[in-house]
Amino acid sequence: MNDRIKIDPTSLPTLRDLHRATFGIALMTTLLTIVAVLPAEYGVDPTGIGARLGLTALGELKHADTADAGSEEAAKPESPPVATFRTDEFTLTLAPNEGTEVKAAMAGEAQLIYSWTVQGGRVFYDFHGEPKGAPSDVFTSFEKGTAASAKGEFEAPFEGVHGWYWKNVGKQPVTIQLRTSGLYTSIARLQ
Amino acid sequence: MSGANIGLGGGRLRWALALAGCVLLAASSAFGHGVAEGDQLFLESTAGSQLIPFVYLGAKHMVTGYDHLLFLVGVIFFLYRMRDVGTYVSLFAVGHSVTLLYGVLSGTDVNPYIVDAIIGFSVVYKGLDNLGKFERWFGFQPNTKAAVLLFGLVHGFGLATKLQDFELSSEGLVGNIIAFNVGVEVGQFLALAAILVGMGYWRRSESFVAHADTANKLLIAAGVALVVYQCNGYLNS
Repeated sequence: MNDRIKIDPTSLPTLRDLHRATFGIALMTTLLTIVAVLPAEYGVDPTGIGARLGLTALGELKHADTADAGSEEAAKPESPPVATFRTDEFTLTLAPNEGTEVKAAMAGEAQLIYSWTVQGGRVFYDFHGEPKGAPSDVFTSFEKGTAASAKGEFEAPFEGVHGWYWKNVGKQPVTIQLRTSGLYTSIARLQ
Repeated sequence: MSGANIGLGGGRLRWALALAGCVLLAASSAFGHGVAEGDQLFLESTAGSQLIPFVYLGAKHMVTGYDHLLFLVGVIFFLYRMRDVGTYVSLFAVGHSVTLLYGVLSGTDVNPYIVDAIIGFSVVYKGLDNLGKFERWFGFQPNTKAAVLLFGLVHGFGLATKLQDFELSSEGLVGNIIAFNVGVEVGQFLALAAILVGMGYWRRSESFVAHADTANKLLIAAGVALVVYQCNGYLNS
């Protein structure tokens, strides 16, 4: 059934050619993995070439949300028992690559209305909550992405602190203006 | 839905189609083939000229793009002279570069599911072509170079839709898109080198002639799986 397939053996690459090509590909793959893939995927840059090419920033961005959001839990505000209706306003300035958090202590099912806008660019954001008393690396992301503004209503799914992590992923400083209103017991910026 | 149901050349093609169904069920969640979440953040947050990162993302998209790679495997399956490989791969590259650049820069809105379904069909087409089915069914051989160029144009629209999903900054856009396209070619070169060497070893053994038809039936099966998956995505979108 394979009369169609005709191969002229003399025109095929020799085994020697193939072995050499295999070696070349293996070498190139290893090099590219070290100088490009590790920096761009994991932010790991053993040679420093990735940073010069701008690839390390790509890798660091991928791991920015989890790495930074988890490291700032020590200053978490305690949630006092009584919540009154309140309104708060924050103005936050972030240098390039700087991140910060603002979080409100809320009871389960407590509600909050929010609006934030960025002047000077866009930011990476992770709107998330941490259950009260949970270990510092336990948090739930409600929404994340990059944006120049966001607003909405939010009902806390559990008791704990809820709020935003922002990171300036641009090359210019940005200013974030945040307004919140609702039934929460405290709200604070965490460095 | 593929031509494979018409006047089958034996039960093996049917078997391959059944296998495609199983692959589809098992791996449907892995068929998304978009741009990874972290890369999306980068694409959307970046402004200005970022040539090397865009080259990287283009190359990554190609090397991890199984639909494009399956088509390439089909195209070079029976090509073992480097000059022929060069000719066909250049036609494919010209085709997808034209529509990638045109699609993103003009903002042409094409449905990604339909484009990806046609890309799946291009794999089926090339598999059938390699099996010599067109000559048997229709009595003539469609021009293979024209087909590669034509499907190259479709693949380019597929690449364009992936980038158009993002709110790319208009600052430095043209340079960044060209860099992405250059990356696609770099990725294609790297993937092709590996495929050619693998095929080179295989062609030297007798099992190539014995199993070439089976391999192309598997290619058709994978193409059918892609078509079904993308049509399903279109109907549910």
